[in-house]
Amino acid sequence: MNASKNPNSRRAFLAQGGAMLGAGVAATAGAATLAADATPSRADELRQLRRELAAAQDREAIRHLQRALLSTPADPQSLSQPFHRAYRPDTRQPDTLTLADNGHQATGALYVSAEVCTPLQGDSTIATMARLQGNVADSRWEAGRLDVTYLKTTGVWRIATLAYTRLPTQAGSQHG
Amino acid sequence: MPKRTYRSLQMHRIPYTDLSESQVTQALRAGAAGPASQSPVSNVLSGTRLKIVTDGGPVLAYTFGTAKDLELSENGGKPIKAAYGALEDRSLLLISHLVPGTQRGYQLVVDQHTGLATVFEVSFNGYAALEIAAAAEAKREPQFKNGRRNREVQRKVWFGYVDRGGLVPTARHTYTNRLEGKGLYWKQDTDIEILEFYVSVTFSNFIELSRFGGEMTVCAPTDYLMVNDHQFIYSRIECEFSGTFTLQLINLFDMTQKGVRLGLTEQDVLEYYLYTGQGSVTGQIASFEAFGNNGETRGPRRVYRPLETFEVMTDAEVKEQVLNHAHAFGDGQGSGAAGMGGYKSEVVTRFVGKGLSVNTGNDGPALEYTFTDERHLKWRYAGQANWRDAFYEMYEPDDELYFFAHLLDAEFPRSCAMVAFDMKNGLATVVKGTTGTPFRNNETTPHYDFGTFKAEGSPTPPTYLRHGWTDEMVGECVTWNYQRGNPGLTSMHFYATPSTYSWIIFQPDGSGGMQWSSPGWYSKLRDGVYLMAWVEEACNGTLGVICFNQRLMHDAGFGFHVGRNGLSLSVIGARARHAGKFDLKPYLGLKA
Repeated sequence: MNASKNPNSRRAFLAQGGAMLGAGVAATAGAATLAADATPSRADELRQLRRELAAAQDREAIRHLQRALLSTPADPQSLSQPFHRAYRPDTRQPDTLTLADNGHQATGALYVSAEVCTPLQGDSTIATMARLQGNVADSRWEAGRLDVTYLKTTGVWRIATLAYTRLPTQAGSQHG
Repeated sequence: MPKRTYRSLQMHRIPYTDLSESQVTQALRAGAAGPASQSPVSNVLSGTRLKIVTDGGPVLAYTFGTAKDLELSENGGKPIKAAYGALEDRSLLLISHLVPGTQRGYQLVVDQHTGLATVFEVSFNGYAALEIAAAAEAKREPQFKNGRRNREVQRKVWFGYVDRGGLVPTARHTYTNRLEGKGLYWKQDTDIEILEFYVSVTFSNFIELSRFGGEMTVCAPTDYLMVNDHQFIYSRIECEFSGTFTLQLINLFDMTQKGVRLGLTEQDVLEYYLYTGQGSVTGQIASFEAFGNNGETRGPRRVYRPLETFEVMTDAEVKEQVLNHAHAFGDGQGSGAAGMGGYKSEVVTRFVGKGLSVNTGNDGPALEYTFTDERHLKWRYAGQANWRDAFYEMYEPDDELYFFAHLLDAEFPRSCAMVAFDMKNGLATVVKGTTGTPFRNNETTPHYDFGTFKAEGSPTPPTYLRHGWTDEMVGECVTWNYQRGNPGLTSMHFYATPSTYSWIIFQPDGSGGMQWSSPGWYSKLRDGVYLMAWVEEACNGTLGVICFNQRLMHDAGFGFHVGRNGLSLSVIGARARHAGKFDLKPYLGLKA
């Protein structure tokens, strides 16, 4: 894949507390994959159902994190390098999410349109005022993928790592 | 020409008292009698009941006795008695009262026809709590450089309706941009004359003609609400100044206003009165939102607080910066490309290796130059022997009209010279910028001198004619795009009077956002070519001087600034669009 890394996306998101957005998400039991069993006992079925329920709860908790990640705008006042101000889901490719067997880790990819903004430079009055309003020097939308690892500690899912990869724009596609 | 009352201190220089909460409470006691009014108040509410339900805000149940007295139950609470006043504008009612024993009050706009209502819940002594909350959210220390601003009125806007016991209306009054771009003149029943300009959706300008003489325009955060296509609610709070709240109904059919003014004067006396006014439109300039954007979801009304954020430096601090940290044009490497010089033109090299002498008469400077290369020059005062080296940049804002700037001697206070000279007629103008004003060391002061020059190939200058002051730009509005990007770094200049201007920062949707104002000076170099200067007083102190060519819709200019990061002289170069013009001269009196 002909992709380029943008190191600022993760820093920009973490700078606004994105990694802590899992606070308040309900604690869930660990997830596990289903084991094939031709003749499960009622206890096995119950355990299986519990595992399925836990996995569903984990996925919902992680989706909650993802929604927060995609909807939390960066503050251009505090940034000096290009940054991502907003993301929009890119529904042309399905997102992925894999829960680890240990129930405490997950990895996934979110396909997005990212608004890449260049902060306004300078300490002139009008630049200061424009930044106060959230203005940027320039912005554009591009296709990208957010590779995210999730970690559950003390029952709460958090974003552990976040990396952004710009994707080549598909012919005929438009973003934003 | 009406009589004008000028003031020794303009609004941004008045040291408004930082009143304590108890002082504000004391001053508000006079409000228990309700608002004064020169015009007859409405008695339409006498003997009636009115219940207003707001979305997420208070439920207000009123019982009106006479045209002066009411009882109010807030959210079903115990009734309280208050004095009120009301004015009518067709089917609209403006109702104003304070809540006795508190620092709060309500200003209501009720549409008797539609049953819609908008409530402005106003209060004093509220700024500090808001600042503390904002600071906590931003993880910073609250800042009270200019005090706790107890005198500043705070407002909450609640949209709602009159509960008549039937169906709840789904419509509401809304925020709007439908007043954006409009200028109005008002003559009020108090004999106050005022010019107002709605060139933003969150701010407005006004020029106090009768109370301040009409020299300067000032700005205030503003709410604009739409009732229907011809009736609007306008409300501003004079933050950074007295903190006074104004709300008025504007009727564009009748060209009338019905309003209320609530605040504390510079003598710290309560000013609380209803007023009526008759107006006229001074102009309508362009707005820059996409069509279909009517401003209903305008976003938050942010307050720009330059007096709070401006850092006043001591003599010693400014002296250190101007002597040891002075930089002109990036020390000869160029400047401004990432700031206000994104569209600067090519530097002029025509005069490299040549000389220039500028004479501005008996009282002004006489300067001699040799241009070493395109970024270095030597200069001296005429008659002196020693040449000084300086960085400079020169531009050609119109054909054979040149404009350059450089720093003068390394002394305190420190000055720069900005020189415009016209190779077609021998005229020159020198704007000398100097650090410091009587109010702040790290502001700047311009001094204009109109004169002549001599250079190789220059014509014999006229004997009597000089560049001079002009009012030709008064009323013009011009957008300035300083860099690529939309809106990027883009503002609009509003040249409001011969001695002031205002700048408006566009919001991402193209609407006007924050704005502020400063003194400004206008001189004419040629037809359609002007030298305009401003000083951002009580803001960041910068002197900006641009040579504006209306034919090119482009400028060439320079910024002179001193602050914690040193003294700087840098280039300004931007692209303009004409946004329109207000016809103001009939209201401003004497020509410049």
